[in-house]
This record gives sequence, structure tokens and C-alpha cells, in this order.
Amino acid sequence: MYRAQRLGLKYLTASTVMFGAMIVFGLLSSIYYIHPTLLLNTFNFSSAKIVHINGLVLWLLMGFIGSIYWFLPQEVEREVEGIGLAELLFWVLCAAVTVVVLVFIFVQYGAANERSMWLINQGRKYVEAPRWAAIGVAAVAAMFAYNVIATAIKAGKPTGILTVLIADLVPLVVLYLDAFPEMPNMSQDLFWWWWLVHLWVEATWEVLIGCIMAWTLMHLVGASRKVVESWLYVEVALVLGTGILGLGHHYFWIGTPRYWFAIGGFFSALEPLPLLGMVVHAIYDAGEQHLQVANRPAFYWTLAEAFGNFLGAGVWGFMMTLPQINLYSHGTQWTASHGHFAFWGAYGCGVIAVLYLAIAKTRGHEALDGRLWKWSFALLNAGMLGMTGALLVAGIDQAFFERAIGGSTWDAFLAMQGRPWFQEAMWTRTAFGLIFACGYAALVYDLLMLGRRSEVRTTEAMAAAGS
Amino acid sequence: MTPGSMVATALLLGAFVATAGAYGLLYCLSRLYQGAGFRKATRLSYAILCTVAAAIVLLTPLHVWWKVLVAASCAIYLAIPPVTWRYLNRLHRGDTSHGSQPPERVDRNLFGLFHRA
Amino acid sequence: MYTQDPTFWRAGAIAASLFMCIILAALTIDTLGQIRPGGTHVPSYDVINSSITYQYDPKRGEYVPEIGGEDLIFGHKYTAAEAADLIARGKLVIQSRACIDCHTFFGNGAYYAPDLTHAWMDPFWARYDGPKRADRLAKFLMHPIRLGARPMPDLHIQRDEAEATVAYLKWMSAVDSNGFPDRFGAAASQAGK
Repeated sequence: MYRAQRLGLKYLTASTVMFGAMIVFGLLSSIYYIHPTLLLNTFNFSSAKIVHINGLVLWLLMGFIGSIYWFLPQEVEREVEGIGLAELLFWVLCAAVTVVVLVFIFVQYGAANERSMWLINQGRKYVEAPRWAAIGVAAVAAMFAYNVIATAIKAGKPTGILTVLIADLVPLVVLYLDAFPEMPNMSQDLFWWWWLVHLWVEATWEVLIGCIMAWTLMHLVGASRKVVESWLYVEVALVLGTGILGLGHHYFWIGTPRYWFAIGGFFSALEPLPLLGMVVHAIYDAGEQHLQVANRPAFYWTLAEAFGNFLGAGVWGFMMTLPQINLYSHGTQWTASHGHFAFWGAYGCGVIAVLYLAIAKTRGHEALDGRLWKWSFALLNAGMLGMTGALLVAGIDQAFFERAIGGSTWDAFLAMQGRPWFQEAMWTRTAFGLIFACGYAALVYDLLMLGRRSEVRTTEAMAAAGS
Repeated sequence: MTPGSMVATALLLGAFVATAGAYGLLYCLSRLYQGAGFRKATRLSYAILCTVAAAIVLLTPLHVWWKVLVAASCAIYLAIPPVTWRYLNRLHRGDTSHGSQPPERVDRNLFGLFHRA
Repeated sequence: MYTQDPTFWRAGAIAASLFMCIILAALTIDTLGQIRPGGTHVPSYDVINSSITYQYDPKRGEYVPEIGGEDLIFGHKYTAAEAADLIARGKLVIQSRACIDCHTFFGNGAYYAPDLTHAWMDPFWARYDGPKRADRLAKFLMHPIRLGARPMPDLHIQRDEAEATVAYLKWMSAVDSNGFPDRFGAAASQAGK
């Protein structure tokens, strides 16, 4: 195994741990909705939410980085350049994340000065981490980009997938520069903030997961390079063709000009089209394999990625993207419903697929099956569907009563939060969050135990083929 | 726009894309499995998609250009599954390096039980 | 068939991305000009010296902020430079306390606490006239009283920080957010509150 692959496994492990931390703080965040005085002035909702959403960004980023360190040396058939420094920076990153989380939990906030921005909390959503840590993350990201680019250069002619990845990594890393500035003008702040968030999750991250899925298909079902590369180019053309100007769907209400209604709404409405193409591709591959793949959990999580992406990002997004609807749905639990489902479908499922792929190879088993992965799969997806559904009900209720009828005043907001459907939705969301957490526990146990139990079964097809 | 029509419009828009997905799924299944059932279901799902699109165009208070976009999308969604499938087939057929067969009309039914022709 | 050639799609991906990026760059330059303080959508910071209300504009078919006559806060008429300093400080308060992780600003943030876009004009505070409103808001921030089922925590906001935050909220309420939130306060005034 290459050193980079071992580093990849470390990143994937750290990713899984962060995933768990995200779930714990997500569950905690959900409880405040039911019990608003919980830990008041000791550990407020905002503190719990900060760890939850930063945990989200980190578990996915670490999952992506781990996946790429896993696949890259196999792609170029040589060790990754600069791997020694990368190994060191992994531990630096883990230490930094630990310190930041501890500060979020025990210090929480500071006075309104630069010291707070540098050491405690920058207070901008998803990028709350203090500036010193943002520098650390930027350094790790730059190192990672160097690893990939230098390796490609040393290897000679880079492959198509690698070229796409490199072309994608450059804007991805540069966009992180928005994690640093502090702009008094909120319109300007949010304008640039959305460059980071949207052009990450609806552009560069989509290309990134596309590259990872391309490699996954090659290793999982032996897909040919020409096929996955061609498809990757099609995906990139459509996703970036719609997603770059789809950024405008965040520029309806932040004080920006009105032409963003037309531009943002139009391109945003086109964003589901490539996602349908991905669903077709997923079913095509499934059919080609007759649904018989040696590593069944990795395969089914790959399928979940295509369907989850279409549903969470495509269907849920389209419901609320047109300006006339968004005027009422904006900034409600409807948004949270879409956000949870989209992140899960577009990225969470993909990282879990790679976890199973990497674990299988590490433990020396090509074939993976069993009962536990199915329980984990069912619980995680059912939990997510339940949370999403509950938040949808709450969000629609909110858009109707608080925004459309109530005019979005504090009174309307507070009255809304106490409405029976809203309260029931909050209870339901927490209940399904617990189911999701059980699914996570099953996932972790399965990953730890795979290959170490004697119940790894080969599939029927493999047995029939006599392998 | 009344609050009720706002919610109804949003749900119709979501149903629009969801039905497009169902149509795509059923189209693919009809290419994989024999039997008139899937072909009928595919046509029915597209009919439902057109009905949802018509409801959006005729019944919702969206501005006219969004309705034009929905109608145009309805036509585009019709083409996406067959065009994508055909493209993937050509891609795989043009590439024999790993010897897999494109999944066209294998003689089998839904639950993977297959009967050799 | 050229569509089977991967390089066709690679060229398409590059062309599409570049084309869209160029349009985005052009629109960004225009937008940045319009959202700077004193631009078409965003008022200059010394709007905190004026009265701000939210009125229905029949020409636009939506609610817009209306800037009126003098309505000072904290007994002081701020110069442009003083207002800019105060707004900058207010933003630092908002970031240092991570307000956006409970509240929303123009609908962006967390959904645990109310949207603050027009907090300055909220019927709960608008029943007080200018100086009294500012003072009461500042006192609330320093020592939050329980307004409803969802208590606001005490974030150890000092007097000067509270005044800066109030000024920030007042300035922000004057931003033209294209009618978001719709009919803010209209339901309350119709109910005769």
C-alpha cells in the first residue's frame, strides 16, 4: 500500500469521527427547539449549531481528501509527491480542529475586537473558525493541492480525471479566501460569502465528488477509463454550466440588483437536469452489473449518492428556488430540510461509498456483504428522510403562517414556533435524528468489524462463476 | 399570490421534478427488463409529468416566463433519459476493453431471476 | 460521431465554464457597485440619523424601506465617518457573538431566532419613537428579557457594543432587499396592534 493510501485511511478515519461529532451536536441542537431553556447561558443553541455545521464541512472535506489520497497513487502508479509533509499536516489539522472545537465549546465567544476574530470565533456561518485556524486549513488545502499537482507533473501526462481534479482544486482552494475578511457591509459580506458556499457545494465540490465517483466506479465495477472520463466531462459541462450562474439564486434578497431574479432563477431551475442524467447513469451501471457487485455496500451507497443528490438537491431545491416562492420559504425550516437532504445525497453517501471501498481493500476482501451494512444503510437513509420530511412540514407551516400571513415579525415568528404542527415536526425531527444516529453507530461497527468476522459472504454470482 | 397558492405552487414544482425522476427511473427499468408493464408505466409517468406541468402553467400565479421555462423543461425531461441511455450504450459498445455487455433487454424479470432465452 | 469523442465534451466543459465565469465576473462588478453604501440598493451609513419605515410601493408591487426626516439615536447626529465606524463596530459585535448562528440577516443564518433584517421596525420596538426605541433595544441586548417561548441568551454585550449593534440594525433595515420579508409588519398593523 502506498504511503498516500495509508494517509488516506487516516483522513477517512478522522472524517468518520467528525461525522459522529456532527451527529452528536446536531441532536443537541435539535433538542433546544423542544426545550428552549436547555443550558441557557451555559451552552446556547448557537454554540451547538456552530460545532454541528463546522463538523459537517470538516467531515466531508476530510472524506474528500482521504478519498483522493486513496485513489491518486493508484491512478498514477507512483507515490504522491510531498507525502511526508502531508502526513505531518494531517496531525496538525487534527490538533487544530480539536483546539477550535474546544474553544467553541468552552470559550464560545469574545468581545467585539480583532482578538476574538483571530482566536475565538469569526461568527460567519460555516466559517466561524478563528483566523488562526482558517490559516491552518488554508495551508492544509494548499499542501493538498500541491500533492495532487506535483504528483501529476512528476507522473508525466496526467489522466483526464486528474486534469479535471486539478482544474477544480485551484478555484476550490482560492474560494476559501472568503473565510478571512470581515466586511462591515452585510450585503457585500453575504455576496462574497455565497461565492464560497455556493461555488463550493454547487460547483467545485460537485466536480470533486464526480472525480471521486469516477475512480470509485473504476475500482468497484471495473468501469473503463474512457467511459468514466467521457461521462465526467459531460457532468462538468452541465453542472458548471448551470451552477456557476445558479449562484444568483442566493442573490434575491441580500440587497443586490433585481436582475439576479431572472438569472439566478433560470440557471437554478436548470440545475436538476444533469442530476437526472446522473440517475440514469447510476441505473445503467446497476443494470450492467445485474445488481451483482462484489462490494455490495459500496455499490449501494454509490446508487444512494445519485438518487439522494437528485432528490435532496434537485427536487427539494426546485420546490423553493423560484423567487415568488423563495420570498416566503427563505430562511425557514424549509431551507434546513433542503440543506440536510442535499448535503447527504450529494456528498455524505459518496464518502460512505469510498469508506466501504477502502476498508474492503485494506482488509483484503474484494467481496463484502452481510446484514449489518443493510441495517446501517436503512437506518441512515430512513433517519435522513424522516428529518427532511419533518423539517419540510415545519418549513411549509412557517412559510405559510409566519411569512405569508404573519409578515415575518418577531411576534409572528414566536407564535409560529409554538404552533402544534411545528412542535410535532420538531419532535419528529429529533426522533429521526436518533434513528440516523443509530445508523451511524451501525456503520462504524460494521466498518470496524468487516473482514474481522467470519460472516463475509461472497455473492451468488461470484459463487456461480466459481471465483 | 395567496399563502395557499404559494404552498400549492411550491409543491407542484417539487412534484414536477420528482415525476421527472420517476419517469427517468421507469424508462431505465423498461430498457433493462422485458414486459409491457414498465413501458406502460414509463408512458404513464411522463403523462403525469405533463399533467403537473400543465397544472403549473394553467393554475399557478407564477410569472409567464417561469411557466415557459417549466413547459420547456417538460419537453427536455422527455429527452434526457433516452438520450443519456443511448449515449452510455454507444460509449460502452465503443469500448470493449473490459468486456462488459451493455445492459440491453436481457431476458429476465424484475427480481433478478433470469431465464435464458 | 463526435459526441462519442471525450475531447468534444472536454471542450464543452471548458467553454461552458469559462463563458459562465466571464458573465459572472461582469455581473459581479456591476453588483458590487450597486451594493456599496450609497449605491442604488444600500444606503450610506449615516442613514442612522434618519427615520426609516417600510411602505408598500405600488409601482414596484412590493414593500420598500422609506427614508424620512431626522430621527436620531442615542442623542447624537453621526457624521459620515462616525457612522461608518459605528457600523463597523456593530458588525464586529454581530460576528464576535455569532448572531448569525441563531438569527437570520436577509434570511441568511440560523432559524432558531427571528430574522433581523427589519428588527429596527418590528412592531414590538416601533411602538417607541426614535431615541427611546434605540435605548430600549440597546438595553435588551445588554440584558435580554424573555420575550416569548424562545429566550435570548445573555452574551455579555457592553453598552458601547449594544449601541453599535442597534445602529447596525437600523442601517440594515434601510437596505432595499427587493421586498423581503414580504409585508413586514403589515399584518400587525392590520390587526390594530
